[in-house]
Amino acid sequence: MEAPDATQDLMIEASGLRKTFDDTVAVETIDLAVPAGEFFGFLGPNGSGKSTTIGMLTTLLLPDAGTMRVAGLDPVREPIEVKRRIGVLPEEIQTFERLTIRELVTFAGRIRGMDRTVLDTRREELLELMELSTKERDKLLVDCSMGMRKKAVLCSAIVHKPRVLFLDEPFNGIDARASIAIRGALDALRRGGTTVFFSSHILELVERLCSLVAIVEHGRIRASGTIEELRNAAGLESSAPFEDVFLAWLEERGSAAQDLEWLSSPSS
Amino acid sequence: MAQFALLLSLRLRLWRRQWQIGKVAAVAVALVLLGLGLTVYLVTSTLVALHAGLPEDSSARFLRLTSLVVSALFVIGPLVGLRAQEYLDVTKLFAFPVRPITVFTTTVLGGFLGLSTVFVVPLFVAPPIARDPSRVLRVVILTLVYMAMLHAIVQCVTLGFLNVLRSRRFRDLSAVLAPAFGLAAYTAMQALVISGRHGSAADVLGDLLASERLAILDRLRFALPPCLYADACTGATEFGHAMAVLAGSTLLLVFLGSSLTASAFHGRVALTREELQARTTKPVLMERWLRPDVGALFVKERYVQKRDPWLRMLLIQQLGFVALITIGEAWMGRSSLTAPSIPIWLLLYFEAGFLQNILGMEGAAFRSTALLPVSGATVLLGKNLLWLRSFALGNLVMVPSLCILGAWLGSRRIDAALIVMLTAASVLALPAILGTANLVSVLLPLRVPQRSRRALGQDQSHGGGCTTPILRIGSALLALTPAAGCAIALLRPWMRRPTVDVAWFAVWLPLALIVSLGTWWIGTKLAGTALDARRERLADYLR
Repeated sequence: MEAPDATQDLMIEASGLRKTFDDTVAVETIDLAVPAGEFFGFLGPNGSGKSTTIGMLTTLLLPDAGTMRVAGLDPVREPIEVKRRIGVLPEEIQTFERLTIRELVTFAGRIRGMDRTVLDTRREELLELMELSTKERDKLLVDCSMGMRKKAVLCSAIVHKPRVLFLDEPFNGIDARASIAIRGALDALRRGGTTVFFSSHILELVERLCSLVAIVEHGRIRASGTIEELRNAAGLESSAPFEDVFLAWLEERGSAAQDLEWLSSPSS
Repeated sequence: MAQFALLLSLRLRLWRRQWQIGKVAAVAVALVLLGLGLTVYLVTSTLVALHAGLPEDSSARFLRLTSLVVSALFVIGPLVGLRAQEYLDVTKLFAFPVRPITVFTTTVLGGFLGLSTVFVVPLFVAPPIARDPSRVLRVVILTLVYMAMLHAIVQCVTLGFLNVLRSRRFRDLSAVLAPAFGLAAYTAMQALVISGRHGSAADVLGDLLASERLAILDRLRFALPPCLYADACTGATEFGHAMAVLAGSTLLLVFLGSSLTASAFHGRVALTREELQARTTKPVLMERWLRPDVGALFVKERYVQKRDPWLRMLLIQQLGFVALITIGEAWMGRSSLTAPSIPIWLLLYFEAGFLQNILGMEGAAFRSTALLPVSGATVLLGKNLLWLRSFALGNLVMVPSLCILGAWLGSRRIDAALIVMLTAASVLALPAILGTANLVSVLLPLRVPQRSRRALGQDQSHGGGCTTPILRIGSALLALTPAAGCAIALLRPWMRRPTVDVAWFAVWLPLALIVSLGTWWIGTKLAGTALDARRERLADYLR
């Protein structure tokens, strides 16, 4: 990854990160430098090591090699302090299903020692922003739809106003209405100076939201920078869609549907 | 027809896949099947023997009664355990271009050809054949038609109440009701036996069958299919008449079921309406005195404990087992000291076993716990405080109740001093149990299969063969050792001379408390450190 501007504070730094699971190398070597206040897009095909990298940065996984710093702290040595400063919306929502949405957000705030009055106000404002009705707020998570669960976990991840927010596929499996609500919250966070580490397959959203992106494949960073920089470096025209930029940086492009003649022939 | 055969073969393949398991599991399944077979044999032979001892009128009435009960259980059983009967929920087939009647009939036929028929048919067939062997062919034909009808009823009820049956509330309720029903049935049976101490089981049954309360079965025998079927088996109703009614009803059920299948295609599973109860965020009692992070964990655990049906189900099962041992001990007529103590130590042993999986019980949600900005010791502390409170309150109620129940059943004197000492020992033991349980929960967690949302036959197992469960059984015994030491010391003077020695009690009570709390403190410290080091592995394992 290119060296960032030395005058900017780095909110996420990683150097030579590596993680293996038995014989499988999930992350070969990852170097990252994300300045404070950036909306950072972390892109790559399935199985490229995105979630494993996020797992290491959020203290859930211990790296086999390499160093990292998140919000100025080492996630391996000071995991509790790091977790106080970050918020995480994981790809798979595995949370306390027998809490209501309100209770989950309250729990997330109280465990970080937030004042009860401030927490109550923030919680209701956030749930309002997410367009969750009073009835929905008192629903158990086990009874909630995927979109509602994502909104709930996002609220619990940002109620303490984290310095860094990690989002792993936040728009997977949710409808357009929930997606708009989540985007509204992310916009507000960006304006507030929170650094957002965003992993997604929806390239249009990445293009619209992210100020910096990195493309990862086979556990290695293929390219990073602004979208314009990646487009230029790939030798594409300025009007080229971001999808072309993304594919241009991948080693394996996949097979085209045109190769299957029967698929393009008229249906019987 | 091709679709019919295809769906039937799909059902068969899915059924066979359940048995494509490892060698150890295959042995376990074989043992379970053998056990089921033996149970069916025992129940069948008991029914035959009971019928033989009854006069003809009572025998006919008994057959109606058993037919009614077995049919009811046969229909209700799969509905309560719908999640484990994935074939009953046919909605997944609606994505394919198949006719509702094909879906319905293949499901009924698939069920009819399954193991449940094999196990239930002997219960129906054996008593009438034993009484009149010449009717064997008619009884078998009648039974097979009747079984097909029962399968059609199950399928119709499933489709008719699919929304309710698949709702989370019903699943939660059935998870609690099933063990509660078992416990209630056992207690009722014991009460019946105790009340009928003067006679044999056959006498009690004879009295019951002769009573006017069951005369309603005679009056309704033409309206209730199980009674009609039972009468046809004994020859009280004409074979042809019964066959026409049963086969006709089955056919009608097939048409009704097909129409329900078609309407279920357009339906959706509606979640039950949650109570609109404004939740305040005022601190709950005890949370006020705790650090904010510990308080938050305590409150979270409290909500989970209040709402998780699996926790309640486990607790009910264990209490049922303790009650069973209490009754057994009372019958065996042991001494007044050992009789009440054994069930109480068993209660503590179950509590230890339960607490040893406080992390495993979180299941996939442990990933969220791993992301909390608190140390492992704090996570355990929050959980421990809640369970300490719950089990201490539970023991304060349970131990005296068990002592009184045991004394009553065993016709012994109720010793108030002994009850106080045993209750004190059971509460004092809890911190020590928690200390060792914390360590085991971190080092040897078990996945809870019920939590898995996977399909039948693919439930996650605990993994690691039988080593982990064996180690856990041993560690639960180990967890009781410090508590046992304290209790024996407390009870020693009482054992020598059955009066309460206040001075001895005053010395040993604080000492026992110190030992117990010390064990908890050391165990939790070690477990907290181990949890911090093993978060990654645990999150991966419990996923």
